[in-house]
Amino acid sequence: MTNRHTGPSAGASPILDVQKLRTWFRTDAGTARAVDGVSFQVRPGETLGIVGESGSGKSVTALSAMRLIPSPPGEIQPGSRIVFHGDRGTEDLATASEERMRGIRGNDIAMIFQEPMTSLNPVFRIGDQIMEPLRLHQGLSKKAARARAIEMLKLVGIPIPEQRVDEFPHQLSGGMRQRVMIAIALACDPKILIADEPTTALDVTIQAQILELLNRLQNELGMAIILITHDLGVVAETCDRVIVMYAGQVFEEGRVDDVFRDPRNPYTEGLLRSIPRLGRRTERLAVIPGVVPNPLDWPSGCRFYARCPYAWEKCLREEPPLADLGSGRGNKCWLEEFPERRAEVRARSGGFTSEGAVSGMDAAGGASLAGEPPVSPDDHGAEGDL
Amino acid sequence: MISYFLRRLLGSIPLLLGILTLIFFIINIAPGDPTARYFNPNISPEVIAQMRTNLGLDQPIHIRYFKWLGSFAQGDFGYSFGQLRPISEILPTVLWNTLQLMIVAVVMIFILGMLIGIVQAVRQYSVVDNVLTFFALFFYSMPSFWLALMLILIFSLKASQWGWPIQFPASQMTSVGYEFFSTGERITDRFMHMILPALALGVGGAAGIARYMRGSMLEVIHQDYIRTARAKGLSERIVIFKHALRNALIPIVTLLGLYLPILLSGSVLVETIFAWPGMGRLIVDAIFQRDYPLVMATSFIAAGLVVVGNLVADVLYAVVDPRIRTE
Repeated sequence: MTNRHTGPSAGASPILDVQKLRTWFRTDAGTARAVDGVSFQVRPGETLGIVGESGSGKSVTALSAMRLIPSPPGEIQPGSRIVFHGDRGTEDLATASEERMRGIRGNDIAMIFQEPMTSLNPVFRIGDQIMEPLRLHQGLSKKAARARAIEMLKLVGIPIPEQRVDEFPHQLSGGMRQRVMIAIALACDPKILIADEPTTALDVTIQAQILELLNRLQNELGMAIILITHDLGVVAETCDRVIVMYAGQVFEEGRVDDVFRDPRNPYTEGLLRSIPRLGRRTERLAVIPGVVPNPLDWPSGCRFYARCPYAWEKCLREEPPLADLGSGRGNKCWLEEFPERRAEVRARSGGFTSEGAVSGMDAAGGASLAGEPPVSPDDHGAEGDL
Repeated sequence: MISYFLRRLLGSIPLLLGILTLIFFIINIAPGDPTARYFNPNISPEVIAQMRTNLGLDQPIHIRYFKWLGSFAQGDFGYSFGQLRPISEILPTVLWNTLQLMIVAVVMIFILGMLIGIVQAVRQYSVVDNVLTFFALFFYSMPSFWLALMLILIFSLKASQWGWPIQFPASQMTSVGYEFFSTGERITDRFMHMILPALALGVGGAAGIARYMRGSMLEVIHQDYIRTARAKGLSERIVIFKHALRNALIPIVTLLGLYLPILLSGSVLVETIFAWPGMGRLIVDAIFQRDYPLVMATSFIAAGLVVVGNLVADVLYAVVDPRIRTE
């Protein structure tokens, strides 16, 4: 996070290497290919952002890395690899035994979730909930675990931890509960922390505090963070690298500064153009028309075809590869091979415009990116909610 | 907390008084008379009238009500017209007999019902789930008296005809010659007599609890904090039996209080069939004989059980749910 300007050494070998991850859900209506060939790497001490609209598969990607996909109906497909370089050498978590996974969860890889209000068990004291992984993974005695729990509460900035440790979740506010979740996740000093939209459900002021806290803890403890969010502002502020997901695939990846300064993929461009900015007068924001397609039936060719202002018939017929642009930059788009197309469309004053929204600003207000899928597919445009 | 329950206890006094007043007037206005069983061509109407005077039945109903209320408030249940002895002598043994049956049934209902419900929820839509659902609905639908008769038919009558190694007695609380048994034999004998009536009384309730438990557990299993528990690396056993069960219990314990009165009314039939000398039979006999003091005493016990049951449910509710406790 803070070290993003110096950056974690680019040459460092990754601690987590996800290769061609495919997580599918078998439903009565067919097979939903929620995550469909996702690859990315996380290096020690870095913060990787995963952004995308609802339904792009980012949460499923995170849960897959923890092997917490409910099965049935979910299944990590054969051929997927989740290579983890931990204390016991190199392991493939996609095929590791359930018993081994239990040793990794909460110990080597920990996770915090979107909803702090419901993520803590309401009938147990928060101290007991923090002590649980400590006693399980580190075999601490009750007394030692309790001392460590108080220490963790202090670390995550909860006042009077000696007293709070005996309270129940309902006695804490949302922000405090998310702090407790972070304390639970970091209790065993994990190498990777997966944060699945950790601030989405919180007030804006509390959001900033939680991000600040994660930032500080990363500096102190040195874990890698995978931050899943739909909020591009959060990515810009906290991440070293970012991958942009769309329809279960990685569409663009690279260092945050590079991606934000020069988005190569039309989808990334659309996301960035739909954010309002201070001090810039614009009549209306640009919108990405339409919605994410149905995972039960991904379109052939490029999955962004129907919503892309640069699309032409090649995109309909053939799926573009994730082109390697060097220094960790990647873009899954035919424009990399046909750059003249971009210039041509822009010359016709095409690209993303506010015209994409059928029913205008108010309807697009909090629609797609914010969370729930839009009510009707042809009514709303997708628009960043910053 | 304690003051809350004291207030609840005090608040139940007018409730009990209302119930008992209602029952007093209903049973006294109902046709029939405690002296009816002495009617006989050889007994002159004057004798009957004398009996009524002796029992105080010649006085107007409101006078009788206040007289009853006065002695009742002093803890005097009165004298049974039917059994011709003080009710305070009859009640304790009979109540204890019924409580034994009910406690065994309640324990069975909740342990069996909860286990079945948990298994069903964890294996939702599996063959096991469907088979258990079928049997749960079957036993839930069957009336307890039919079940009691079937149990006697199979495990008592047919078991002895077919020479099964285990046969259960069909009636009474103890065997003939119980007084001469050793302590070990007595315990076994009591236990064997207890099983069939407790089953007949409890199986329907267990099936009901299993249904509730399955629903409650399914709801809890999909909560976010269960995912959190798994993300800590906890084993599935701890996730289910610690994190999920404690939450799924919250709606179930409330039912515990409601089951006490249901079991009491169920015991009327079951005790009659198994010749179990308990409250259920006592109530029925008292009503048929128009044994007014005994009807009032047993009604008081039944109503008191409902009140206590609800209070117990409230206490348990606070025990399992910390969100209630702090308020």
